Amino acid sequence: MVHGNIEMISSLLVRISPEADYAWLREKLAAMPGFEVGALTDTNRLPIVIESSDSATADQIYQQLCELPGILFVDIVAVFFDDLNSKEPLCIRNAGEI
Amino acid sequence: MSKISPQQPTDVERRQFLKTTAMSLAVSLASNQSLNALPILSSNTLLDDPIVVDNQVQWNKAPCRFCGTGCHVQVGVQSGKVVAIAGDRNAEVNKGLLCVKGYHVGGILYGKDRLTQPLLRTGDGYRAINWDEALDVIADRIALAPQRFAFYGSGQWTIPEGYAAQKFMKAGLSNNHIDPNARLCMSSAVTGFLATYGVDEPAGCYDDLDNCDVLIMWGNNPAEMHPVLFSRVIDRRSRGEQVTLIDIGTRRTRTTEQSQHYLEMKGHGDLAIANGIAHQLLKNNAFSQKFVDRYCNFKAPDEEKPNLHGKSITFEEFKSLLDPYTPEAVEKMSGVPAEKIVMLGQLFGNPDLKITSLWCMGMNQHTRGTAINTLVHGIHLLSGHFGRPGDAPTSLTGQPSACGTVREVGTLSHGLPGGLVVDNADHRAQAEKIWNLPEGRINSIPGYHTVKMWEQFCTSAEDGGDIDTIWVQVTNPGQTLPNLNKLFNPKANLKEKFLIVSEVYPTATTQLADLILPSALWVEKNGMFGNSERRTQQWFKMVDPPGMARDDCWQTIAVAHRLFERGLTGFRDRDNKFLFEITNEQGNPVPIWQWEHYYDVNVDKHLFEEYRQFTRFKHKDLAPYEEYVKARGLRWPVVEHNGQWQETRMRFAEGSDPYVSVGKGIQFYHSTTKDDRAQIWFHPWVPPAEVPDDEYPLMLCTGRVLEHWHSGSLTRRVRELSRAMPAAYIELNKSDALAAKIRTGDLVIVESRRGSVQLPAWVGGRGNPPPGTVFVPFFDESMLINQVTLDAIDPFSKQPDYKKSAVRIVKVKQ
Repeated sequence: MVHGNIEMISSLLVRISPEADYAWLREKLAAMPGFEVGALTDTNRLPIVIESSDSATADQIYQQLCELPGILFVDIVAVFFDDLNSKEPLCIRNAGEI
Repeated sequence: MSKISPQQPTDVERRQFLKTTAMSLAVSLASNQSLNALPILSSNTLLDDPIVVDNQVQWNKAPCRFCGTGCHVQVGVQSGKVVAIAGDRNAEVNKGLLCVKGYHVGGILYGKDRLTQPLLRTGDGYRAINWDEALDVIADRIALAPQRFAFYGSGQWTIPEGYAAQKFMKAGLSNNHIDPNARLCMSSAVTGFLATYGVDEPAGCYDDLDNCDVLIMWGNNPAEMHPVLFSRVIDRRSRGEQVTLIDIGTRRTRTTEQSQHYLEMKGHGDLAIANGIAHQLLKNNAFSQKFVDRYCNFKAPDEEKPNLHGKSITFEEFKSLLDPYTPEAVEKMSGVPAEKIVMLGQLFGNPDLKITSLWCMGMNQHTRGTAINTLVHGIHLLSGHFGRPGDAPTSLTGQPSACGTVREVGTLSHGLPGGLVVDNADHRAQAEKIWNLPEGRINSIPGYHTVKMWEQFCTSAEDGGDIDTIWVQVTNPGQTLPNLNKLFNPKANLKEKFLIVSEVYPTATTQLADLILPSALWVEKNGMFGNSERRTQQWFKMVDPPGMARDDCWQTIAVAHRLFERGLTGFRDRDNKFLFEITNEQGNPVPIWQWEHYYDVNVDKHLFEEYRQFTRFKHKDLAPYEEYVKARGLRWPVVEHNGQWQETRMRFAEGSDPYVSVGKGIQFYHSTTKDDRAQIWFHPWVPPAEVPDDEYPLMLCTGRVLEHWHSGSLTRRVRELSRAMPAAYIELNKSDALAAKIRTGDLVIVESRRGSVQLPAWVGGRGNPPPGTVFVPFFDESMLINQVTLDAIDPFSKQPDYKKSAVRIVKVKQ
């Protein structure tokens, strides 16, 4: 469980290699903060939910997941970004600087 | 409005609800359950009625705004803002999944620097004006010289937007100077399909990815550019299926990491490789005699009169032309080892395998783009790897409606809707009939293609530059045109030229604009797209655009009406009615040119139903608008059968394509030789238009990155994506970096005969170019690599080659 203000919930579908050491991988995933790991299907698909304090953290976690041995691909199923209204939008240039 | 849950939850309850929802979504997708977990919309929900979940979020469907894959997302709206995005599990394209860009798509609406009011250049600055004045400024410029006006759009135009622009130009102004940025990304695919089958767009579809035994990616990096499609294949592998992935490319990428074979080639090596495969098939008698005898002819270029029909040759002549392409010779031309050419020949020679080829910019941005497209089709035809699920040559597109709007609506300088062309008298007559125009209204001479259009705009009138005004919608040519110092930047010193830009954010293009128009974006308006697999998609407006931003389609119609009011005859039809007249149920015209009345009717629906009449001429039939409201897209031709509208998975194949006659098996019913046969072409290998030499010793390839889409004007406004990939860079091979004493982070000047740009170096980064080559992504407007690129074009498609420019690099002393 992530401590503090949780504003981002991501639903992921992870493809596991048939050759992966799944016991090791599951242990690794379970140790990651904010992770809820579902049951591995017989087609090597693993559902995961991530709670994070913001979307940048969720992105970092996503990148870490992609790099774990045995993980072939990570797809995003859904994301609920309740922080959207509160965060400062990004600006490359001000309109006056056109 | 459908209500799912009437209770108002607490924050904790809501979080738990969302978490449970998130897990149930992932679980149901992982196990292929058909259970519909909230808030996912069910497949039979009528989507003109958004679903409300827990009294807070309204959900509706839309295709993603980014690439040509055409994933469907579900968009959650609360208090007038997009607050959630979910993959649409009922969408066949993405089956509920999204890539990292897709799940941030809602954020593109909320950059701080959204353009919210029309701005007119006054000296060095801008003056805020109202829409009334803006429309008059545009009408004045067009009325001054209608034939010196050009419209420049893109594959991001929705289908109705592109159709309106097309009609504005070709019917309203009798002017064919309309072209899209898609000229820069997929026009060689178009000419490849036309030269081979006589009609554009792929025969196969994404289902082939689920059925192929071998997937060959020709200069293509779907792991980063079309990730959801790539994940369909990787999913098969995770389930234990045997799928062989072959990456033929000029640099190692994330696609390479997942591929069993990486065939690293030199630029233009693909021409030699394709010929080498054909040579192997013939030499080993491993081609499909039956398929060739029944369904194919042979063609070679007509050197005296180059055209897409070429000249007919015999099988023996074809075989003889391929004689030089032995594996050893191909190795010298392409850099790919001879044994790999033999391997490819063996794969294509195996009739028991199902082979799908994928390509995108690598084969299209190529001064022999038409040639390599026809050659890849040719090896599929020669080997008979065509017409079965999993056996298909399939091009991908980079924009969400490059197919739907550009190729199908025909927003190209030579095109008319539905695959018709302006230089065909019958086609013009058909268009004039549908548009209710006087005979002869449509100009028979093709207009300027993109490179020529901008060259004429950037040349002074006294030097023959006969385009004075360009109106740009939904694209960013100030960043994406090649050789910007020739094709865009000169505008700064040509005061008589006038640039109008409809945009959502300030860009490299708006920097030189004389008039900037604020536009609505994505779900701020109604829309329709057409993706890479012939799938037409629809969505409704969900939120209001900010400030005075308005739909591009409205902008076009409003200017058309100004010109109609001024008496320009082109904007009247044969009955003296306004070209875009829409009447209400009482038969009275609805003033859709007035913004406050634009949404009194569904303008998209009216334009689409008119456009739909064109789609039957070339068997690209579309269903009524309401069918797309219900569906997550339908693949054309969509034909009514027993009261049901049925889509087509594999064109030209009996049993799938309704236009194939019974007993034909395969029927290329738009054959250029009028005999129901496709053309297998020979084209020789030739070197690139520019090759490295002593002065410019490196080959530059440009491209994209996972986090950013195209010129980055949208994705760089999304904080997470921008943080993940903040700036452009130059990717170097370690040996080249070592020789030049360049380390990661060092600033490097990249210079060509056309210009230069300064970038930080990245050695051993995400991709790995081979020695003698460098790679630079083009998403960063602060480091414009297109100051450097070459503007040489393919002779048929007129598409430039962004992948092969000779450059030198110099380390900046710090």
